[in-house]
Formats: sequence, C-alpha cells, structure tokens
Amino acid sequence: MKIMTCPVNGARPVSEFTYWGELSEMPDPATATDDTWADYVFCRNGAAGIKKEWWCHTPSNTWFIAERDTAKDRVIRTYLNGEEA
Amino acid sequence: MPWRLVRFAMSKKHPEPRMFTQHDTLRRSYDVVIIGAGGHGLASAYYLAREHGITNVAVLEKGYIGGGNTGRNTTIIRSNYLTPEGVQFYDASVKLWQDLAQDFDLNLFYSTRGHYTLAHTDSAMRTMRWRAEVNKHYGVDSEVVGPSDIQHAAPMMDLSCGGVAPILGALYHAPGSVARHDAVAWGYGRGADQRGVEIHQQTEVLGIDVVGGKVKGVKTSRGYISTNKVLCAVAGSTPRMTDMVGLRTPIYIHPLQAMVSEPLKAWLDPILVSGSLHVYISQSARGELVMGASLDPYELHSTRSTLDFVEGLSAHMLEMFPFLSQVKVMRQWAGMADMTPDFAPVMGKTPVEGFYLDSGWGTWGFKATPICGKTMSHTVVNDTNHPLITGFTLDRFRQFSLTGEKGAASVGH
Amino acid sequence: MRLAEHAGEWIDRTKTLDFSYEGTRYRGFAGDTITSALWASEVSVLGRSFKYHRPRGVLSLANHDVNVMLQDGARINVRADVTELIADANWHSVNTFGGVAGDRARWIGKLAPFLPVGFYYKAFYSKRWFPRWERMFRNMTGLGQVALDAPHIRTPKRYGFCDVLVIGAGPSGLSAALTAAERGADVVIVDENARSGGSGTYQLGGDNARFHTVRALDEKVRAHPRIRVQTSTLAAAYYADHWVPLVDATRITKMRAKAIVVASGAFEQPAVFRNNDLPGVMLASAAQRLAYRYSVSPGERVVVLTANADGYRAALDMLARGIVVTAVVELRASHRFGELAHELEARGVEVMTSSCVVEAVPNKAGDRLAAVRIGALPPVGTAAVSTSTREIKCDTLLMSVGWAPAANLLYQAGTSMRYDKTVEQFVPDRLPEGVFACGRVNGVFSFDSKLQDGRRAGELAAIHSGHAASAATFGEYAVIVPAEPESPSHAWPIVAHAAGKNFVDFDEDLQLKDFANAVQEGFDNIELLKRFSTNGMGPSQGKH
Repeated sequence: MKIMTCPVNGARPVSEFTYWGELSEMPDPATATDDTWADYVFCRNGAAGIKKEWWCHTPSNTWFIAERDTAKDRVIRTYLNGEEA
Repeated sequence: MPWRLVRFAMSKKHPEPRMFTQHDTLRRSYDVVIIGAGGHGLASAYYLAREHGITNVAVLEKGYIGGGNTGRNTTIIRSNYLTPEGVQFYDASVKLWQDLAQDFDLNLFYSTRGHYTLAHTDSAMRTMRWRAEVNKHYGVDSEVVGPSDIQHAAPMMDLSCGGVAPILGALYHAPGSVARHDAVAWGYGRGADQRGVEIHQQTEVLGIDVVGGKVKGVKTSRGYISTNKVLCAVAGSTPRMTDMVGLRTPIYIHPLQAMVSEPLKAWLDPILVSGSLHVYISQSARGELVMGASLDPYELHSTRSTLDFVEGLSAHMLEMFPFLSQVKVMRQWAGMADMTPDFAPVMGKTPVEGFYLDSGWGTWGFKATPICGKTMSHTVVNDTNHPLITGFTLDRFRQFSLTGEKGAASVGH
Repeated sequence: MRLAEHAGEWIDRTKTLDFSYEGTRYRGFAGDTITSALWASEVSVLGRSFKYHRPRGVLSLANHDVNVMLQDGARINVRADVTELIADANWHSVNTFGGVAGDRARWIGKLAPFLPVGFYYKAFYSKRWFPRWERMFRNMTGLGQVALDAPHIRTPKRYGFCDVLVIGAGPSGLSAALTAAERGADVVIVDENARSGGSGTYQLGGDNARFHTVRALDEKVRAHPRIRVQTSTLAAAYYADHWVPLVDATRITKMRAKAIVVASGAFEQPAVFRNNDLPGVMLASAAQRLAYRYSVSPGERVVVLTANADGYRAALDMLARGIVVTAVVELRASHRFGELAHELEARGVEVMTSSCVVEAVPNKAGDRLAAVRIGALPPVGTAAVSTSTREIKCDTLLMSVGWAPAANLLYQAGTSMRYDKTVEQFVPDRLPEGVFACGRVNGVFSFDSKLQDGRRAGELAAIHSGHAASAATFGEYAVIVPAEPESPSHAWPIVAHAAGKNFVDFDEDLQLKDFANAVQEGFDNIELLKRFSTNGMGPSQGKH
C-alpha cells in the first residue's frame, strides 16, 4: 500500500485517505462571469506535475494539503491548511 | 475452410509483406497530422483515406502502434448506454465492429457473448430499466432479466455473491462482445498504410504551432511539419497536448488497472459486470480470465500496479465464483484513463481552428474505436462536428449541458 | 534413477509417499517434488506442449517453464517442478486429448507448415464460421480445467515489518542479510525454494568446499538473532514504498521494509537448435538440482553444451555424482577456464571447441533424446550445415549457454537497466531509493565476488534503513567488486535449421523462424513482436 503521511496521525496506508483534487482558487460567485464559473467548476490542470492537493484522512477527518508529484507517485510533503511554512 | 493458410504451407519463404511501411523521412507538410497511433488515431486515418480520399496524412506515435490504452483495455464492446446521444453513438460503433474483420481481412476474434450488467440493489434495477428503455427506443437489443435467466447463462455463479450482495436482476445486452484489442490497431493501421497514410512510430510531438488562433504546424522529435489540421487522439496524454495549444479542458488522468488469470479451459461464456461489486470479467479465446474493477482513486500519470487492486478484485471474484481460489493471477497492468466529469468523451472541433480533439475516453474508449474513426474523420474533413458527436463537444461544459453517462460507463461510482 | 546419498540432499529417504500420474502409481520420498519423483522413476514424458503437443520433460526444474503442469481435481495448473509430493494425489498433465502418452492432438505438429506465426489472424474470420472456429480455439487453448465444485479456500493475511528485506537466500543474499544484521538492522530474508543456499547448493563443480562455505554462511544467518529466514516463500511483486507480498503455503505476509536487497539470481537460458525441446534436453542447472537436491540422475549418458565456466562445473558435478559424461561441446573458440576443461579431459571427457549442437535426435518412439549431432558453430544468421556433423549417442544433454537476470522486482520498482556487454546481460543502471541489487541479478557471477557484492548491498541497505553504525567500516565495502573474467553468457547461442523446431519460447511453442517472420510482417519493435507472436506471454512469463 502506498504511504500517505497525515500531518496529525503520521504515515498511514493510502486506503485510509480520500483524494479531493487539486487546490484551486474559487472566483467570487457574485461577480464571476458564467465562463469563469464554468471553468472553475469543470476545468482542470490535467497534465502531470507537482501539485498541491486536498486530501482527507478519513478515520480522523483530518483535511490537509499534500504536495505530490503526479508523474512519479511521490509525496513531497503534507501539511495542514495554513501551516505551509 | 482456412484455405489461405495453404499458401503458407506451399511457399518456401514466408509470403507476407510488412503490415506497416517503415518511413525513413518525415515530409515537410501533410494535409492532416494525427497525434497518436492507437485504435482511435489509426481508425481516423483509415476512414480519412477510405471514405474521404484524404491520404496525405501522417500519424505520429511516440512509442509503438497500439501501445497506449488500445493495448491495455479489457476488450469489451457494447452499446447499452444511458443517454440518447450515447446509445446512438455506441450502437453505430457496434454495427461497424460487426463487419470490421471483413474490412481488414484480419481475424479480430470479435466474439458476441452476451453482456450482463448485474444489479444488486433496487436503485441499480431502476437504472437497468431506464437503460433498457432508452436502448429499445433506439433499436438496441437490451432487456432487464431476472435471476433465473442469469443463472441459466452462468450456471456456476453464486448469485448471492457469498451472501453479501445478492443479485436481483441484470441488464442483458445480447450484442455484447469481446475482441482482440491489439489486432484492431493492426487492422486499422494496415488498412490506412495500404491506402497511402504514413505511420511514423518513435516520433514524439514536442509542440504545436498556433498563430492567430489557427494551427500552423507541429514540432516533432524528427523535424517540423506544416499542417492546418491536427487531430489529437492520445488518451492519457491529452492534457499535455491541450496545454501545447493553450486549451483548458475538464480532463483528469487516473490509472485504470486490469489483470488476467493463467489460461483455463473454457468455462465462462458471457461477459459479466457488477456495478455494486465494481468488478467485471470475461474469458478470452486463449482461456485467460480478463478482469477489471474501478478506477484508481487519485490522479497519477503512470501505469504502475497495486496490491490493493489485485486483492480487492480477487476477493469480489471469489464472491461470485468461489471455486476459483486456486487459480493464479498471471499478470496485472494499467493504462492511464482520460476521465471527464460526465463519463462521456470530449470530441470534435475546439476553439483552436484546425485542432480537433478525440479524448475523454476514460474507461469506455475501446468499444468506440470504429465510430470514433468514422466521426472524427468526417469532422476533420468538413470542419463540422459529425451529427453523432454533437453531444460530446468540449463546449458542453461551458454551457453546463453535460451528457451524463456515469450510470452506464465504468464500474466505479 | 536414484543416486547415492548426498550430504545436502533435500529428500528424507526414511519417508516414502505414493501418488499416481496419468493413472500409474509411483513412489517418492518426502522432500521430492512431483517432477523429481517421476524423473527418478524413469518417466521422461511429463507433459505435452501447448500448440504442437510435442512430448516434454524437465527443462528448468525451477518453475521457469511449464513443461510439467499438472492437475488433480481442484489442484489446478500445479507446477510439478517445485511442488512437493502430496500423498495419494492423482495427477494428470493438463491440455492433452486422451492423456500424455496417447495425446490425439499430437498430429497438430504435422500441420505446422499451415500454422505460421499469427496464423489465427490470417483466417477463421468468416462471419458464418467464426463461432465454430472460436469453439475449436477455445477447446484447444486453456490449460487446466476449472473444477466448479472446488472449495473456496480463504488465505489468511498478516502484516510484517523489517528494516531490510533480502529477496533470495543464495550466496549473495545470505551475505547481504548477515552484513545488514551485523550493522544492527532487523532483517527478513526469503527464498522461494524449500531450502536456502540457492546456487551455492548445486553449482559446485564437483568441489565440496563451495558447498561447505555456503552452508556455514547459512548457519550463521539462521543463528543471528536479528534475522528471520523464511523459505518456501515467494516475494510475489514489488509495490510502492517497499511493499512486498510474501506468499507461502499458508498465508500472505504484506511486508513493509525500509530497504530492499534483490538477490534473486538469474534465469538460465536454453540454447536454440533443432529439437531442443526433447525430453532429456535440459538446462545444466536443472541437472545439478536433480543430482544434488533430490539425488536423481538426469540420465545415463550425458553430453554438455556450453559457452561458460558453469557448463564445465556442471559436467564435473555429474561425474562427482557418478553419472557418465561423454563430451563437452563448447560454442566458443577459447576461454579463460582452461583448467576446468583439462580436468574433464583427464577424466575421459572429450572437449570440442567452436562446436554446436546442430540437432537433437530422438529415439524411435520420439519421446526421449537418443543422440546429438555436433557440427561447427555457423556464423550468426546462417543455418547450420547438417551434412558435416558427427553424431554422439546420449540420452541427456545439458545446456549451459547463458543467463538473464531475474530482475522483475527491480523493474517493478522502477529500476532502469543498461546492457553490459562484458556479461552480455542487462544490469541495474539507476536503482530507486532504498532498493539494492547483488549477485547474478547485478551481473556478478564469480563465487567470491557474489559474496562481496552481497556484503556491499547489505551494508548500503542497513545504512539506508538508519543503521549507519560507523563510517570507518563502511570504507571496507566501498570497494568495487572485480569485473568478471569473461562473460557467463553467450551473445547468440542460436543455430538456425531449415527444418525448424528449434524452440525459443517453450510455453508458446515458438520456433526461431516465427521471430523472423513476425519481423518481416512489420512487428519489429520488441513490444509488437511480443503481442503478435505471444512470445513471453505464456504461464511462465516473466521468468526468462
């Protein structure tokens, strides 16, 4: 099992986690155009690379960010939101 | 009788020519450049040449013919989809499949076995009835059947699935078939090659020239090609290509794994799929059990395999067929599935003039190989989306007008 | 025939086990595998090949081929070479039509000219007749027959943890394990064989010193408090983050290691010549395993075909076990181990250089080797000249022409390999973090070098798993292992023949010309060649 490190609970098998996709900045729904909103809802940064992603450690409901190389399957680091430093 | 084989016995030298011409030089320009020599790309080249007389075509392939998802899928062909757009599209494909071996003069082992999508819950039964109605409306042979019909087709199956998830019924689709996936790429490839299309393997696309919103050319590892029409059919590599032309798409890449058992004497005739257990199985002409399950749960651009996959799939297989516990798994592998939010493909024209996309094939692309080639070649030639693919435009997301096939594509929901 | 007792034999002559094969009763000893017991009972034909239904016998005796694949009810597709005897089992060879002896499908061999590579793509696709043809193909393919009432056996699983996992308990693996443990690492060492010691227990060259060195090393490993030894345990695959499922007879242990040492050795390669699949033609290491592990004679009159020092040592092993060896046929013109050749000549064995086996000649019944035709080794690409050959009578031919690294776990881990012409094999070029390789899988073949290479890998693995005790002693293992004096593998041990039946893939019955023909048709990329010809796609895939 691939290992993912929860910032609170440490290294756990990846089956204990839910992947929730790449972080993306939400535009202001009140002022965004329809096209901007559609792009935010549907479009992705699809190519491989090092990405910041939301993950949740399901048994403990710990939401955190993982910086992961999506080509090499390598987790570079994980941290709670706001604790990037 | 296979009289053709007599020729081999009679001749001193092997009497077969090359299926794919080796081209030592890449021309400076082509009327159409197709990126990706998988089933879809080669089928498009084939119909461009055969139906439209367009032969000044280059198919560029980074690796070897059919080395992508065409050579990695679990070979199921069916048209029992959920939406009107989907049903008509895949039905047109099945009709082309049925004559394909004759078109190619190549045995594709196209074997019509019957396909059962098993329902283990009331809501699943509801979806099966919905699909059956839509299918019948468009003349596709599907119907809802009960447990006794399923048991009759697969007498050895445990319909209670180990007591865990009893089967309530199934969507039975008589035209459901399997075929030899590699041979489809070879057949389309040879057919295109014979009509003058150039297939260039070991040729990587490094960039696509877009000037003033129009395609002007393609930079490759073997030189530059001028062209006004590029058809991109690269499945798991799609985002890298769309980035080259500055296009935003909803496509995301997850691995899709599969496995085969060692060869066994024939015992399983139909193709069986379970949405609740997230598994499917068929038996190839070689006797191997070809099995698959749901998509890997996170983005990854790799064809690596996992233990959880083979473990989970085996466990569910044993629920349906408890007598298989001493059969060995021979091999496991993966492909990179280009997924979309509505489990329908992304096909046709794009905002970049001359750049045509055949993508978003996720876990449902092999069965569409022929109809893809037909519709994309039409689209490229006429610069207008073929009527059958108007439900699959890239634009539909901007319009919030999705073609929802999640209930009928894939097994992992 | 059973040989005299050997100190390291794996059989227990005080316990016999009765079983039957193809309806005839046989007796073997505890510790025998099904194949060794049958071979000891003079049964040569142990199966029929997949396509042509040719008689087959022992080839690797290591589960690197499926010549001997048996079934007894629910026990399906059993690899007899490596499966211990089960009392009162009732075995049959798979995929025969009327039993091994009278297999009705053997006439397919006569149809061979009509069945070129990929023949099934070129015909059989008429819409009307395909269903009929498909039924025929489905009947002819497939090996074991699934027993629909076979019980649902639930295999328990457990988790395991260690600092260093060593895969392969041969000379280099044992060295690696001991070094890592001495550094303070918690070590698990596994081997798929029933006993540890690997090639150190059978590639002896008639010299017991090597045997005792490995045995002593093995005893030290077993005595070490930080080493867990698990034999009859297969490291089934490498998965992300050093996750390796260890499969034994009763359970799967999902092992998480901090570092992995792959000491899996090498797969011996068959020579390619006409009728190289006859019962009696086997890999030299198979003969050595038969002679030392099971005290079974490979045959009565042995000839050795070789292109490396291993072949000479195999000949000496046969002599040491009392088996008659009449000749050594050496592909090369010259080599560095002249003393081995001299020793054989002094004992009455004829040694021929620049020679090859042009053809293996069957007995009248066509089910056992009776003689080999020897000729000059032809230039690469040309067929052997069968007119100027010499016939040597023998019932057993040992092939010792080369090795391929058993690098599967390294590939799965993402290792990139490079071809090393000095040993004519692929060797690891860039290993992933935490993965180490030693011994023959790393291109190291000389006995002392293997031990040294194992120490090097064990040292590095221990350091990687956090046991860098002292930098001073590390220097001892930073020495580069000396280069091999000569290549243990021949670049092209292949002899073309107009009449064919020179097999490259024994599982799939693929002959030399099938490859040339596939390439001619445009399948000239190794991946396309594999998919079109099915080379390497049989049940022993990954073991060549």
